[in-house]
Amino acid sequence: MEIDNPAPAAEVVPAIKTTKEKSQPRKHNEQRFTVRKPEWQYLHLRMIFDPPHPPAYTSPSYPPDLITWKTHLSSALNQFLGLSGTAIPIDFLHLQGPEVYIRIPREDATRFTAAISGWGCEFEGRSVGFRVLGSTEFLMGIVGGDGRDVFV
Amino acid sequence: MTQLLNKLPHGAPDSKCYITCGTLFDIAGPETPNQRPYTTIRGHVFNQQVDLLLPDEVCELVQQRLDEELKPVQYHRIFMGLKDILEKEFYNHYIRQGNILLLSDGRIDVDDVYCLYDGTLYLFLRKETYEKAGLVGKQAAFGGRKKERWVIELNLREPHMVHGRKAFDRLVWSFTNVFKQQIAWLFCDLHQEAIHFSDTPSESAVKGLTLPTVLRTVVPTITRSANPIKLATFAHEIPTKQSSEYTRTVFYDWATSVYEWLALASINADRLNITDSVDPLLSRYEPPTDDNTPEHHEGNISKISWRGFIPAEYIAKIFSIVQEIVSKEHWYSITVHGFQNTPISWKGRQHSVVGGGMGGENLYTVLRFAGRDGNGNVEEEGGDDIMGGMDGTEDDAKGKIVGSKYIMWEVVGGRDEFS
Repeated sequence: MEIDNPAPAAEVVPAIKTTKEKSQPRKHNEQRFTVRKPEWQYLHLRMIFDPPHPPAYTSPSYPPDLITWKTHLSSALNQFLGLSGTAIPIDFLHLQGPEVYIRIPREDATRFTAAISGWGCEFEGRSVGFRVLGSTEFLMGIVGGDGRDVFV
Repeated sequence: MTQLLNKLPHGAPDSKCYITCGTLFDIAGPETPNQRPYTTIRGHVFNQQVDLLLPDEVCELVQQRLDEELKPVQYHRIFMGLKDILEKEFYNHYIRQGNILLLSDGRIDVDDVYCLYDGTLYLFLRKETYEKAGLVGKQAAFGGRKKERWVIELNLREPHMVHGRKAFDRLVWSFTNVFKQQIAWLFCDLHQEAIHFSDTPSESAVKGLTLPTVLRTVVPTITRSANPIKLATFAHEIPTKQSSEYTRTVFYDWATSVYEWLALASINADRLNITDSVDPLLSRYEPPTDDNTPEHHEGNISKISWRGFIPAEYIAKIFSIVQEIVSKEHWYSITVHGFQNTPISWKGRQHSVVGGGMGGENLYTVLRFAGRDGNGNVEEEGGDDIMGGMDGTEDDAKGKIVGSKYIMWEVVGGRDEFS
């Protein structure tokens, strides 16, 4: 944990219910906790290009690397939110083709998504933008997909 | 503008994560099936993905035993209308006598979505459809985009729900004249060989349906990591009622970061690669470590994953097999993802998404810790438990019960009745 980030990581409601404890004595030795408002928000983003790249296309600038991501995201945040936008710390967790998993402080998530979804620029003759594929407070919630592909 | 945005409330209700710490006993008592995590596993009805993570050393053994003891589960994808499920042979064979799962495709906050389990059919409808349906329902717990959604609950196993009775004819009329749309459905027969061994061999065709179906078989895919990855440390104390606020906060931090690590491990994330040396400008992620040993442990892990329409009963089987095979020196974790657009997450709990196809997560993860064999630390009454150390040696009237510690995370989006 960062020392310069003194805000409590999670606002937590201890959910150890006394009534439950009585009906199910310590035999099971089970404890329950509830976590709300954790420290991070996780986003699954895709960089979209128009006109799109043909499938299996690669070049030095595609799929984009982390530096490109950082540059484009910063430019979007700067355009919409100025300095306070570029100050949002982004941790890149995983890069997969034109998609990326990132984590940002939860409090900044609303501003962040607003800034990046309204942004676009021209790059190598294609217009570039972002699409938010998933957003969650618990990373495990987006790594499984939404399951609609099972119906196809 | 920034100030304005800062004042905007989070548009959606928060998602929640329930953490349970407890012991998985070696010897199942009569009460065991009614305890967590078993109740969680059996109650989570519509599952689309199961991921089993475990150290690479035990992967082969587990894979072998799963092959031997578990038949692949089969399900169908059918393109049909609601009235087709009332076809006499299908209805009597699968719904009245048998036991099936049905789930229709659609976005839960905008479309009409239907599901069926334990013989009860749930229709989650838009207001317009509800008004035309001519069936009695009640307002749904979560309104969706237009704030007005309705749910009709029909127990099709009730004695009067048979062909020729008035109440039933009403259903037939409604399903034929109002619910005309043909949509994609998933169908799983719970009386198939993979779930109940004793049954007659499962048939590949769906009885009583003239429509074409697509039969699918859920076969596990195994991903063995080619390179070692950075491991997390699982040892931690869990707070008790007497613990200070500080201890709790540290625990929540630890628990969420272990969960984050498990998620990263399941997608084999770049940041866990041991050769990864990304600039702190791009990522400051570090796997959770022990205070005493700040260096990362390294190791190979494997993933066995199932995808499709997987009934809870099948997952319970996977869990019991894995729990039996993986010896106590090793950890394993099992994550089960539900369909995000399902109208029911856990049995009897309504579910919806926050909006725009997001915030519909409903999933759980059980992580069983590795224990030091033999000499576990003896717990004191009221003292802090040490996670990761072996064994719940809580004494019972009958004597010592041996088991291993587990931690379970259950995550639900902001619009879910589960708690």
